[in-house]
Amino acid sequence: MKVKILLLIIGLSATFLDAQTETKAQPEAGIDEITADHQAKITEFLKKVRTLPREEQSELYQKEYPKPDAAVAALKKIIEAEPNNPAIIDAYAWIAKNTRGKGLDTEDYAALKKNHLNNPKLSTFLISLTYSQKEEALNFVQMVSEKSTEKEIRGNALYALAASMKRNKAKATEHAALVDRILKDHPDLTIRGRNVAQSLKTEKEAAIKFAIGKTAPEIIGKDVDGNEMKLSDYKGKVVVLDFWGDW
Amino acid sequence: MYPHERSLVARMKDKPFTILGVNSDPAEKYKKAIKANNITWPSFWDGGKTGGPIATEWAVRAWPTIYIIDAQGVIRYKNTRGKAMDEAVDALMKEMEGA
Repeated sequence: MKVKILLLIIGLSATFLDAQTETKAQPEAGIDEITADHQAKITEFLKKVRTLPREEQSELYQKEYPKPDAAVAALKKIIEAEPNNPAIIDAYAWIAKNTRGKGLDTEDYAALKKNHLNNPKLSTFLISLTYSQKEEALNFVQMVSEKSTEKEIRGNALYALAASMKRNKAKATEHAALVDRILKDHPDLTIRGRNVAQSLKTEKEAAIKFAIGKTAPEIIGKDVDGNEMKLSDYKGKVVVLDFWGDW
Repeated sequence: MYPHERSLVARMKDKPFTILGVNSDPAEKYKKAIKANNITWPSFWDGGKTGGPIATEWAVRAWPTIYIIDAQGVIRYKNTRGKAMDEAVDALMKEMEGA
């Protein structure tokens, strides 16, 4: 009888310990909880915004849009607990995507380089990092494009760098060189199911075809009522060709 | 956008000039926008979505994208907006008058 109870107690505590180690081994659960919690705050905020007249909405966005600071701090604790666990890259990804324009902290870049340089999920937030346009972020992405052992990650890093320069006229030459390198080394680069290498190729060809100084190719189309119209109908006039939408 | 375009069109009323749109909205939304914003200039209707045939042909990936084309049909400016757009149009007009 006594032995049985003892065994039962041992059995129970073993299960208890198991459960504890299990939670410890799954930072995913903690990350999910923190990010879901923040998402709930955003949903709550959006509900409130929708009840207001349009002109008051933007003010409320500036004033009350839920700041990610608390979630970021909580995620960083999870990262600190197990910096080597591949699962914590989701925490970095969330921070990068939700603190746009800010980038990560210096020690984050060092830790990512040390522990997660070849983690496929690194690809998912390289572009978000470049939004900050901070030298530190760009240097990190540059480093990834050179040092990761995973070709897919290097390709994603090159694409993120190219995207970060796209609208910067001062970096046009550098951008063109990057695009050429992607087309040469990563001709099938696909991001979220989209063949981005193909898009870059099309864009490159278009940039040549529609460059300043080139004759605009004819456009034959229809107006919204189905009447045919052509760009050449306006020959002899100065034309502001405006690709637009009402949004 | 619209107020600036309206004033440019008004200023160029009797000149050889047009804004020519390529619109990517669904038809109903487009028609509403025309009425609501007093848009008097013509537009191609590009199939109701951003990936329409004309935008695809011109590899337009950001809206609005603007090309300014001279009277000979040559592309002269790209994504020139606001005051710079007025100046570009004026320069091309002057060129025409001088020719």
